[in-house]
Amino acid sequence: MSDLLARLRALQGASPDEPLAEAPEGPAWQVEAAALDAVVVEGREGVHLLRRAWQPPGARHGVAPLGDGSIHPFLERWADRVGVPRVGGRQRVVYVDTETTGLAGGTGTYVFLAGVGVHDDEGFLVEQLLLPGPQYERAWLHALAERLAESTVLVTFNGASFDVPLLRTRFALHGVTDPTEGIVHVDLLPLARRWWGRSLVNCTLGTIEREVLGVQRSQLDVPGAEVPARYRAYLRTRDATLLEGVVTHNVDDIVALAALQRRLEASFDGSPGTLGKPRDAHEGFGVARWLEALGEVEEAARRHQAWMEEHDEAAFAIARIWRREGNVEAARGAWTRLAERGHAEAWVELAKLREHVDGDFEAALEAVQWARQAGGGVRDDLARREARLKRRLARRDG
Amino acid sequence: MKGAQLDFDTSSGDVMDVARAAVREVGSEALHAVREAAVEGTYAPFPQGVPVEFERALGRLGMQQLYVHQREAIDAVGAGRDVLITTGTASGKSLAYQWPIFDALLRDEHATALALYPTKALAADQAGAFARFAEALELPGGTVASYDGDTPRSQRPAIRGAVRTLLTNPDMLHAGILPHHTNWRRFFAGLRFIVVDEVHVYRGVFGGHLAGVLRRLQRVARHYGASPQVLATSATLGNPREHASTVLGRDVVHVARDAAPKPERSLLLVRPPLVDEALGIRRPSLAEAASLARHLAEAGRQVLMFAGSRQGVEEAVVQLRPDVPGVRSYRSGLLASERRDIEAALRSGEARIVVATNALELGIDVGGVDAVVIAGYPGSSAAFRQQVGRAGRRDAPGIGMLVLGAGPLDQYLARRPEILFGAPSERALSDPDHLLLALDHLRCATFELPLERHEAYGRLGPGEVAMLAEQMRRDGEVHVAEGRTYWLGDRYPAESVSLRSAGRDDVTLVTGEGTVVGTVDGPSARWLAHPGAVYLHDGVPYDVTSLDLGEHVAHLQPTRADVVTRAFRETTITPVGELQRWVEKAARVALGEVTVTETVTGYRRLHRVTRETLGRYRLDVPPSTLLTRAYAFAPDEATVEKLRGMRAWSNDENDYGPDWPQVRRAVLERDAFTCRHCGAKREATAGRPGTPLHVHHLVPFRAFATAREANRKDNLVTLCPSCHRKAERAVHVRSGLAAVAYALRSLAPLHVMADARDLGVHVDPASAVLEGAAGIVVFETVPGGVGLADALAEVHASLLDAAHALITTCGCEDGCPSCVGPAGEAGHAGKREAIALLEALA
Repeated sequence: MSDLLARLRALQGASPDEPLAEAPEGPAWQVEAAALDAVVVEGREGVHLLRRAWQPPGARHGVAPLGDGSIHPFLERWADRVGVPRVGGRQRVVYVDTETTGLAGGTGTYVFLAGVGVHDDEGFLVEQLLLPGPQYERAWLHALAERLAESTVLVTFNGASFDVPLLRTRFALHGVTDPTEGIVHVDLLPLARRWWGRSLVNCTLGTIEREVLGVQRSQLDVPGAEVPARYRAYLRTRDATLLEGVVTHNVDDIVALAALQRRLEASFDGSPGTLGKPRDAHEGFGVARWLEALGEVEEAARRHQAWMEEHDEAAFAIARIWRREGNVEAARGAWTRLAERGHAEAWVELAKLREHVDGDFEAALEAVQWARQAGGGVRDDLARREARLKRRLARRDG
Repeated sequence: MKGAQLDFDTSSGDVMDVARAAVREVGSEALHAVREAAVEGTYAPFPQGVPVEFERALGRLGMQQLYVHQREAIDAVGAGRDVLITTGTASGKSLAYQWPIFDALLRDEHATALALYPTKALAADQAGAFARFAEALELPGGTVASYDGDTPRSQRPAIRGAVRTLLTNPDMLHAGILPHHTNWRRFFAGLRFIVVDEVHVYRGVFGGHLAGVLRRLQRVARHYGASPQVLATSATLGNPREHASTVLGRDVVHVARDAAPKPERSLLLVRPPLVDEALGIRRPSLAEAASLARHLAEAGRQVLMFAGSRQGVEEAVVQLRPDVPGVRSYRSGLLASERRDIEAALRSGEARIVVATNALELGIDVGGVDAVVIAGYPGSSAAFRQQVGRAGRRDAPGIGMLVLGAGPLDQYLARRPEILFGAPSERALSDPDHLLLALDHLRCATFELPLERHEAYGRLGPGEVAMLAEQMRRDGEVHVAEGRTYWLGDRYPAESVSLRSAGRDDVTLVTGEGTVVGTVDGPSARWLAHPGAVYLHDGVPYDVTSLDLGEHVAHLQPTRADVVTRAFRETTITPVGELQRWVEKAARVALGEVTVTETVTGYRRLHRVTRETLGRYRLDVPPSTLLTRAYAFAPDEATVEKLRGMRAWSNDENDYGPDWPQVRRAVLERDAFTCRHCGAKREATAGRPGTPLHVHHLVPFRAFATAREANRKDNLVTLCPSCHRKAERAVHVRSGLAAVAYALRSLAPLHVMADARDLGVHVDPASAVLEGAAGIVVFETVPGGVGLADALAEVHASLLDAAHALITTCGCEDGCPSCVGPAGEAGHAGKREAIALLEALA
């Protein structure tokens, strides 16, 4: 047997293994729980550790409050575009963030820590469920499912492509009913990208906390890349203190999530004060465009107009709204100003106006050529438009 | 050639006349000509109890009956057996597995099937055939889908939701589907059939990997409560059933009798003419095959030409393109869209000559062509049968030609054509339980589902699996608890396991404008796409400006130069751990694990047409390494002494004597630092070496008893390197070991019934494998080895006997391409030394 191992190492061209530090005996639950300020929950199918932390009512994270457990109808409507039917009655919002054994996804990536944030009478409660070993996963999943069962809205950061698919895989593997199915899922990352994607160096939660919420995380924070190794070391040595940093990092993430939601809402819900004040024209325009896509045209128009001097796309968008409302000359004015600055799409719009409203094909053709020169539009589209205009001109002249 | 009749009456038939005329016109010689008569098919009725809608669909598809072998396969599947079908090209193998699949799909709304094809192109092609069947059955759209790396991400969820017959390749199953099996729950829960097409392709390491992937697939299917049957097809092999049961992990019912009709086919074995009778050198088979293809195309035939390598394909295209319209090349490294385009051109007839590597040998459905021309023996009789099987269409007779190369194996085949035309004898070997392969797939399997306490893996029992799990634990990849092993690595193990070869690492070829020209695998990139190489793509030459193996990219720019390049490769082989060593008569034999390191040290630029060397260059490319098994032998000390005494051992370094530097200097000065042949002068400016000049022994050094005699000034002359090589070609002296190695390159694969590409033969004057002795090392080119080295060691004695017989019966005077290699390569006295060596070892 050890011959086989030696042969394997030789085949791999590797040197013999160093002995690993190992736990002398099985887990001592109370010791582990105490190290993390958690309690041991023993169920029929296994054990997990549970850690609770409250933020008092009215607590803030940097510039933003943690909210009150409500969610703005706009956010819900935006998230609900897949058409999951609303379960009647009161909203119950949960904030979820997970820590995992890797970033690869697939059936071999475990979620070992799930943080669940909810507002209750005593403030903002973060409950953390720690999986003390993969053999206890089913019990752990049941406990997590129970926590999520009551909620109607799930708020995450990048959950759509990471946390939620991973949890779904775990639930599916154990045949446990997936509590995230049929729930409205608000992933804040895409919004943050629209608002601040251009002004921030990146859109990680850490950067947003620092630059937008004004919070500096402590130096004790564990870098994300180290997290899987910490968990493996904990399983091997049963030294729960290795996870201290991971656990606090997870709490901070969930608190940040609640604060971020408030900050995003403030930018469009018209709340008084400076919280929702756009950082720059990109954010101002981003919010306006988002509202427009949501069908809140009136509010969107007001905001586009407010930012049109500072942001060309806002000017372009407001012109489009005016055009749709039949205010052709106002639209023409805005597009003309943009076109003069070499805005290709504005030239395309002018071409349309000249063709369809004015019936001036020569001028329209000229606008198409300007648009081309400015490098705009879908090329095929422009070519088709140009060909059609030439045909119409030929027909008229012939 | 089951079902066909041999007809040695070669006078009959127009097609044979056309073929013979073409051979005559190019000046070659038709050694053997065989006319295979057209064969009628034998048919069987549909099985009883076929669902009504099924029968109706068959009517729509124009089917009234089955070939007997299809019926045989369908019945065996119906009886719950796993089935292997090995009937010929175009014998309707796919219908034999489509039938039970669609039958099941109709009867059970939850039933699903998975079909694996070795290439994406083949899967895409077969998806079309499946879809036509599904349509005739009025099954909903989305029932059939192909799923591979090219499938857009946006379409994947819809495919996962609806598909019931999934066509993919082993790589995608391995890295894209199994690690995410929860997304495919419905599909796996209903899995009734696994189709493995072209099983013969999965040999060596690829076969071991496929076996690993299939074991994992069955394991995941079991998790969802399914136990699928396996349906496989293969080209004919010497051991089809044995091979199938190794890689499929199942004992199969073998359906071999081919009942399909065949067109008349004229098959010819063609030998190019001698260009140098004294040296036994013939016109190269590649150029000859290209000329034949051109003649046939000019006679109005659509031609498919097979050239062994990518380089061969490109060179043939360069030769043909100026004269013949409609020449296309088809080979690996082309982009998917380019392939589809060529396949369509072949079907429409727009392509007149397609020059292909064996990428087209696999059953891609392009229909028949009028003529198939093969440049050089394709390495196995199965490949030969598959390639010529494309010649001829329904009611239109076909031509198949094999243009023999200069190598001993091709010449051996010229004397023994029954190897080609008789039953195939090659055996496909594969070892799925090789420790490294097993570890790779156990890692992937653990990622997919935890390993259970007593889980076995193929022949590896629970104890050995537990040991491998322990290794994973030490590597920090798993956690063991309550007897179960859980994956806990932060990496995705399938990503680091490539099925095609160990550390394949494709290199992308990009032009200055950023256009992707194609790809080449990492080890080959070192000698095909090194900086300074001329890389031919679809007949267009490019200069390689840089190669970045870390970034997996090579930069090219188009060139007009009429130049090709050849890399110098240097091989070192070192033992890994203890080797088995024993003495067999006068030979020391070794067997075991070795590391083969190949370094590309430089390259040579040649004129494309004249083959004249234009320059030699140094290179600094990181080496590639291969861990594998090798068999080696060397004559013992006493034998070497004896051979030295017979002046039949020229393996020692030439020692030109202590005063050589002075002698050399004097000759250079006498000749005024000028090549006496071409007049090239050394530009002896300071700090610049210029053209180095050599001093050449007119009568070879080894022909003299003492250095003083050999070094007499009238025996010495100044030459430039290029002229020196020409001169050496006539009198080059190399050892008998090199001569024997040359013969073994062909004989060794034949002796263990392996593909020539699976073995490498290396001559080493001081081999670490042989404890410093001069000897020959035969190594397996598949990482880890599959047992060929062990098989060779077993037949050591008869292998040397065969080499002796080949060399002594060859009519040449002093070595030719058909025995120990041409005199120019293996050299003066090579043959005599080889015979002496083999007699000493016998």
